[in-house]
Amino acid sequence: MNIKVKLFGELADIAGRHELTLNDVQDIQSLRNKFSEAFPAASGKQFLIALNRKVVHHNPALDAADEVAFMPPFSGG
Amino acid sequence: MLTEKDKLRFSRQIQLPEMGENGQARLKQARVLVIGAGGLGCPVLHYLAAAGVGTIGIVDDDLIELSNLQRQVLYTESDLGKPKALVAAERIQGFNSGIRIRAYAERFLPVNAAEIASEYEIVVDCSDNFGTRYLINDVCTLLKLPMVYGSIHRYEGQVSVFNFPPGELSAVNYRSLYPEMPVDNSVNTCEETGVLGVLPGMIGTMQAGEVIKIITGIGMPLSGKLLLLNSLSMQTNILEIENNPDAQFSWPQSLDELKTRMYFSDCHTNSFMKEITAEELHRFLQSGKQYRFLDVRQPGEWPEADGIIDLQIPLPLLEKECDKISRDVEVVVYCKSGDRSEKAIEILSSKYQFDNLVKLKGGAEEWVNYIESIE
Repeated sequence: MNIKVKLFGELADIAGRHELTLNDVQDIQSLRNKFSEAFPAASGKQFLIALNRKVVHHNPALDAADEVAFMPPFSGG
Repeated sequence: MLTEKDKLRFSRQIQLPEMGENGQARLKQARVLVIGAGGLGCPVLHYLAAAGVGTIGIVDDDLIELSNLQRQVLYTESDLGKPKALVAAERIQGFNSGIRIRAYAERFLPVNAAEIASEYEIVVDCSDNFGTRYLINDVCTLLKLPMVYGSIHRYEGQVSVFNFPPGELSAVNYRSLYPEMPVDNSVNTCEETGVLGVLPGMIGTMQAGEVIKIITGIGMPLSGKLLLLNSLSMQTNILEIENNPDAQFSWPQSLDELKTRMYFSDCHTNSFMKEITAEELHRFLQSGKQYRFLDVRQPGEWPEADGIIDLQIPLPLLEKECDKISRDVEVVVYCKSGDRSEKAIEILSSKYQFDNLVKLKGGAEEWVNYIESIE
């Protein structure tokens, strides 16, 4: 299944875009793995994951219509 | 209570039915601490003083520099080189002579955090580094103080309200989003990445609005929600945040413990070494956190640290082979009981500028004991 991911902050800087589609994904963990494979510079970065605008801390299965966002912490002020 | 002059001065907001004279009186009685008088702090301080918040504390140990003036709008060219906290205090006192202002021209640190924060009812996080942010979060969580959070990255900003309503179990904090403090330098700062001056103005103004809403009880503060603003597309997203069960053990459990925590690294003096216990390491590995491991013992030394075996470089060969060590991911360094790993981190951080090393407390022995104790 293909999942669209919105990227914020530094992750968007690394990927060079604010939105991308990752293929062959079943759940949040596999989505995360695909993202690290595609962008090794992002591995080791801490970010939160929102599924349909709700922050998730577990590993739910995904549906093609789901909206996922990766949000790293910002340090500036 | 409100004077006749107050009623005239604040008439435009008093005439809002939700606010009224009661709301204005609450603002006058309120005590708000603003930590950081930079890009975010300037608009927050300006609007809180203008709105009539009766007592405002300002914490900042920085001096005003020329490159600040593009976004730190309380300061002028004649303020260059002066302490931000003192100049900001003088400036906002000039905007409103009827309020009390206390300037703390010092750094917000584990040793003074609770003493300063406990004088106030709301804390506004306008800091520009993770150490201060996590410290503010932890001291506010322990003191059950609402914290109005804002942060920025290039053209994007985040705003939220933590620990609100105070003392409620469902109230989330910054560690509900990001349980562990990122390794220094793993996230860039304004100085490194640049920032458009209006962005902290927008985010800081939102923070000031949240403070006023909390004090007066009008509207719905961003509690349990994280607002994201992209100032280039002008898109906003509001994410719902729930309590993160993994986060509850990540903040100190008492003010005494807070004083012993390391929030700030200082590579230059090398006075700081990050440590992790076997129990913590096991918990973080279980929650999916990625680490690399460095064993600095001789080959064949016991005990074998099952589960954390990765790279081995004996201490005498360390400098020759240090390019094998990852600089991207946190590296947990261990030996038998902890002495050699400490030495290794000292060498690597002072001579080779590693800033991602963590010492495993008690070394492989402690790790093996802990794993046996839970099996």
